[in-house]
Amino acid sequence: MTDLRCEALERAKRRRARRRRATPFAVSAAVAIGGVGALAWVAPRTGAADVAASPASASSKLAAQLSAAATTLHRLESTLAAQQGQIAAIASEPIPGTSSSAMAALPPLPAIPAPISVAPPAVHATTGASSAVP
Amino acid sequence: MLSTEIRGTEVVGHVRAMATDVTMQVCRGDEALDALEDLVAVALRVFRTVEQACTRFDPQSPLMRANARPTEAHRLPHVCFEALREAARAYRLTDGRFDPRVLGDLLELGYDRSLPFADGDLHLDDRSAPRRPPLPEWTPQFRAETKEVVLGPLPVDLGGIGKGLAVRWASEVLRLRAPDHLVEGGGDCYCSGRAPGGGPWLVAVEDPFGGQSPRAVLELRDQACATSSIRLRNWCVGGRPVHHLVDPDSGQPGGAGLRAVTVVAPDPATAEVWAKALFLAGAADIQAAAGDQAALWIDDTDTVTVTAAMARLVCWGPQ
Repeated sequence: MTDLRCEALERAKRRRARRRRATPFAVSAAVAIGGVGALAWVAPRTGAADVAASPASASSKLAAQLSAAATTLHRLESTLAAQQGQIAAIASEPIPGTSSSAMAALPPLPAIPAPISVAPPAVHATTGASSAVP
Repeated sequence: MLSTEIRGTEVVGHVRAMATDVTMQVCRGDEALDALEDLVAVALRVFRTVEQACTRFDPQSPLMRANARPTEAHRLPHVCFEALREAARAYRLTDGRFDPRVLGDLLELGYDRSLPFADGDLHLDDRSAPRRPPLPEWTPQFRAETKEVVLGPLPVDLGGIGKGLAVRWASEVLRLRAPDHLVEGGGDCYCSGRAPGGGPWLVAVEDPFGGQSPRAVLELRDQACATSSIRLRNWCVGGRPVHHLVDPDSGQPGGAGLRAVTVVAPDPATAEVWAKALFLAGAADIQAAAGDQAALWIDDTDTVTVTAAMARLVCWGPQ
């Protein structure tokens, strides 16, 4: 009984070991199949003939480009954050010679005058108040 | 009081007649300038001729002699005879809205002489001018062969048409040899042909509230314009404000709600008659009364309204 149990345990160990050995291979195979599939889908749409021709080098090139883009994006975000900080700082500074109370004391703005129309043209005569009774 | 002068390629003439300043502007065309000057002088004299024949302020004028006994036949000078015949024609044309028999009403209102309107604040407190019933139909009789007229039971006033007729007849004198000219008399104009430079004549419509800027500018060619306005001829009777544009149906100043009416027509007398008739329609009815005429009116609220026909002639003004 003990032998049988020992044998079963051994078989189980061997199965687990086989499974551990088999998993990296299966994953690699799946990634490879998926990558080739993805490249096969991307290549005709991007027109990148070299990508389709050489999946492995294209993949690494794409990864490099993504990495460079990510770096650029990160740099831009940093710059934007810095500029937003500067704008906030300037906006919070008081304008020299003014204060909220001084602004409140200013007289109200005059009403906006009506738009000035184009002047009438020079005329030859005028018709108006009748001034004749024969 | 009558003058002419040569200005470049134009002749300009002035005369004081019919209680107004008359101006003529004549483009040279093919005529010699000195010959044109003589022609302008003749045209200017037309105004004096009409004034002498048709004035109601001279009891010896042909019109007033006929008015003194209106039921009798009177042989009249050609100008007075034609003016009365045109007045009768205008009466029929406007269905009686233009009626020269309002003379009695004007006298009741105190307008029996040249009044100092320009001075403003004119009060005639010894008058009452009560409302009266509408006048019966006007049926004057004319005998063209003898130039005789029977006015009917009531005297007449040619103030509402005389100036327009003078502008018409003066233009007819000029037209024979100077087709491009302007005749302007106290607001009644005739614009013949082209203005100097070849474009249309430009005529400003005065602001009846007294503002310096015109309310509109009209482009006219072979057209007349006239305005009936109460800006100048208004006064007070017994504390009541009145003016000279009398409604023949009531004998009272008419044109409720209106300040001025301008009409453009092919003929100056027609324009003058319609300006008065449309004014008397009042603000409530002028739109319907104007029909398809070229008319512009300004009401008591200072609103300018133009008919579709007038809108085509406005080159500056109400937008």
